Amino acid sequence: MSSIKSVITSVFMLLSVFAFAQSEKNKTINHFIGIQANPLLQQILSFGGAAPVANPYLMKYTLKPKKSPFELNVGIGYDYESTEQKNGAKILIHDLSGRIGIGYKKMITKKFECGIGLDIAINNQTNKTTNITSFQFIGSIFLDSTITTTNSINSGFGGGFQFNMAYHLNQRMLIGTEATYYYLFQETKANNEIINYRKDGFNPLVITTTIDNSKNTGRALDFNLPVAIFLIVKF
Amino acid sequence: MVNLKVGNLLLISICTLLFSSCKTEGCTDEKAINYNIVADTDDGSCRYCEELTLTRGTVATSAYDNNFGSIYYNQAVLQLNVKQIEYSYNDASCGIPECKLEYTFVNLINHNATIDVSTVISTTVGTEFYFSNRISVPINSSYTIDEATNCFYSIDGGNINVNVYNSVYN
Repeated sequence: MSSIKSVITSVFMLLSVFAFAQSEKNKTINHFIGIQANPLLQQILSFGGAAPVANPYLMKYTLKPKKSPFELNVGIGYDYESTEQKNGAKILIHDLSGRIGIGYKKMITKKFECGIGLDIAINNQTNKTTNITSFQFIGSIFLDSTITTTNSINSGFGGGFQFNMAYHLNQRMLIGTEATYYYLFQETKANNEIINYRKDGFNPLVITTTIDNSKNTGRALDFNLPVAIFLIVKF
Repeated sequence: MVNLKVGNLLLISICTLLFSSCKTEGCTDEKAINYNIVADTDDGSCRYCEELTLTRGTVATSAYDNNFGSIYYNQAVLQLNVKQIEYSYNDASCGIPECKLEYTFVNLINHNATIDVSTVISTTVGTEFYFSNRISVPINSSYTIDEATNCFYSIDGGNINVNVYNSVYN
């Protein structure tokens, strides 16, 4: 997964080259696109074994009028994992996080800026796992196969504060980080399905389905430390 | 121009992610065997309990009145048909399979018959099923009675003996 993030980061860097082409004349609004650069930095600097970054927002976008300290912030993160084995066992994971909010930014020094924001955040994680076990003895016509499928979805909604800081590397490039403190209402639904196919001797095939559905709700305070590093392009 | 292109790219990416990751397919009907609480889009995979009926075997014979002094002495007064039926489900979670023996007595005479009757069905593996009851069968009619039994042995290919030990005709 980190290699995918690295590729996305690299593509983003290329995009930023095109962004340089824009003229500053008559510009009233600045756009900032930031991308989480930790996986790329880990590869470049060989931080082997580094812990994964908890900040789910792979990309963030900021729209800021030039003459105003206020800004509009959007962030999104997406993680996808799919594996399939020869015996039919599968794992499929989607993990989506998004946020939108308003912020206030101030230049502390000529190159260093700090900001605070108020965000609305959502997240949605789906997980599907399929496992198959099978026993078959043709001689005595015995068959016993079990397919176990686990589905779960975890969705959250809430909001909170964002604190960010960035350093202007040049007129177009910034490097920054952020801390977030979100209060989230979480809902988890889970479905566990076990289907057993059994044929013993000349008796008919017996299918047995066992279902377990559950739904849980909760609340969580989600605090992300400023460990995610964002490469930000201004255009 | 460049702003517009980058903005569009970002918007398309966000929309694609949102719409592709939030749909979970499965069975959304709570009455189904395989109801999936996580699913928000029905994929037509719902399965429901269905009762299946299977005739496992039949035996038949005639019942003779052996009561000396009866007006039908030594004559066939009833035709007895016995059917073994298995009731099961398409999925074992819906219920346990059950079997019953369906005894049907057909009146062969020109009187209403009230008869004390007993039967013994011997299967091919030696197991026996017993039945004893008083039955009333109107003229030109039949009477059916069910009796629950196990499903381990089939009556198919077995023999049935019937004994009429008390009879009243009117």
